[in-house]
Amino acid sequence: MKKFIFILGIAMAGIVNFSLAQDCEIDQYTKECQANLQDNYIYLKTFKIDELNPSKKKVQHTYVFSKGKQYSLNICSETSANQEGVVVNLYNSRRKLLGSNYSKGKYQDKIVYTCGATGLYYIVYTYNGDSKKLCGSSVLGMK
Amino acid sequence: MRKLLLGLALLVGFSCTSKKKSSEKEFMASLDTLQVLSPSVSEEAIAEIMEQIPSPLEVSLLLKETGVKYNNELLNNPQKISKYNSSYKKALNLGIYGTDLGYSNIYEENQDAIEYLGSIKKLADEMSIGQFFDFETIKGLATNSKNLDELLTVTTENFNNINQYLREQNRSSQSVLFLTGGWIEAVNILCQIEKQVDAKELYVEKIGEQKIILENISKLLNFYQNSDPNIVELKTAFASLEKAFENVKINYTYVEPVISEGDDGQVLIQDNSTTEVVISPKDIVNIRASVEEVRNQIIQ
Repeated sequence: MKKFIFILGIAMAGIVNFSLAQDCEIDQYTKECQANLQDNYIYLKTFKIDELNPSKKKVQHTYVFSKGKQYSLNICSETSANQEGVVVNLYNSRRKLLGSNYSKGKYQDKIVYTCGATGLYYIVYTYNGDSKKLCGSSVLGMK
Repeated sequence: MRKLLLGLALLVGFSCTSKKKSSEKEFMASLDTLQVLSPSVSEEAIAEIMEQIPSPLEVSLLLKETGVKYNNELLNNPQKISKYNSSYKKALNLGIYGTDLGYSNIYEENQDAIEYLGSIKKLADEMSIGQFFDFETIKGLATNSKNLDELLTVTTENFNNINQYLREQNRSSQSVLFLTGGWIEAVNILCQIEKQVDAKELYVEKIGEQKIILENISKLLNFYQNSDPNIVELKTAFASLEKAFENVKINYTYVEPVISEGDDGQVLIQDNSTTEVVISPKDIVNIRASVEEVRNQIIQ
């Protein structure tokens, strides 16, 4: 009996580790997004979006963009295929909306932003889906 | 029976936490005896400011794009590493060398890049964050000029991971120092180039824009000035830099952006707003002198 419980324990520990590892392969999404950066774009940052879920629907990131530069924000998530929604809005330092990846019911997985004014910008992620926990990542590149 | 169940629970717990404990031991051993107290603001607020600070690669990229020649005399000597004995100096100079590595990478100066890589690896190991610096991969990419994009991606990702790890381990003050060193080195390169070239306009504007970053770094240093005595010293040096930037103005004019759809369906945002930097030649002289002063204090 003791032997059986011991073996069962080992198996359970394995399952716990396996399920944790399977939980969210976020690095896979980051790599996918990096690979989708077009030529001449330099990778700058990763904004992981695994914090989003139905009870935490909004995550905000900030970055200083430079005048004359072009930035590409790529979004990669498990919801990309079924269009269940990660909305990314870009705001200037005065919190005025400049653009969004969501328009007329369609989600796009890439925003290309040409900056005219150096300053602080807000990148706000909102989740419209109902998955318990969203698994995904987004990558910022510059040229 | 009870003992067995306890054993099972420990086994499950151990499998989840063992990785963290060994690295924790390593870095605890490397920290100075000097105690760094927690800052007065939340880690979340600190992280938010830190993520705003742009990559020093942007300056190197600008220089290369505008045809400025590579000059390694502007960089810190990679052999000076033995002088950096405290965790404070190590963190600052890790940032300095990080910018130097990015600069030599952008210009595809492989020999210099490999020297900086060696110094970075050594400093990172001494700070117990060497596990995040994939020396062999980066060295391999640096010696093959076809892989520039991948080299920059892997290097940037390594540094981002170091920053994230330091924050997660409540070593945010070191992360702040790392970013500060990286920024100072980039601004120093920019200021030295501005002095050398005839067509100064673009570089003058870029120097003026650094006021935005300086304000963020100063905020970060302020958070730690009551908790880390080393940062008090650095903050004093930064006071002259803040004064040099005092008269610089950045005027913003908002114009509606134009939004369109690209060939692959991507959203294209053309921002028509503009910024105008107001900065005098005297401001530039003062900024250059202050940056040099702070940098010298860091690298000596």
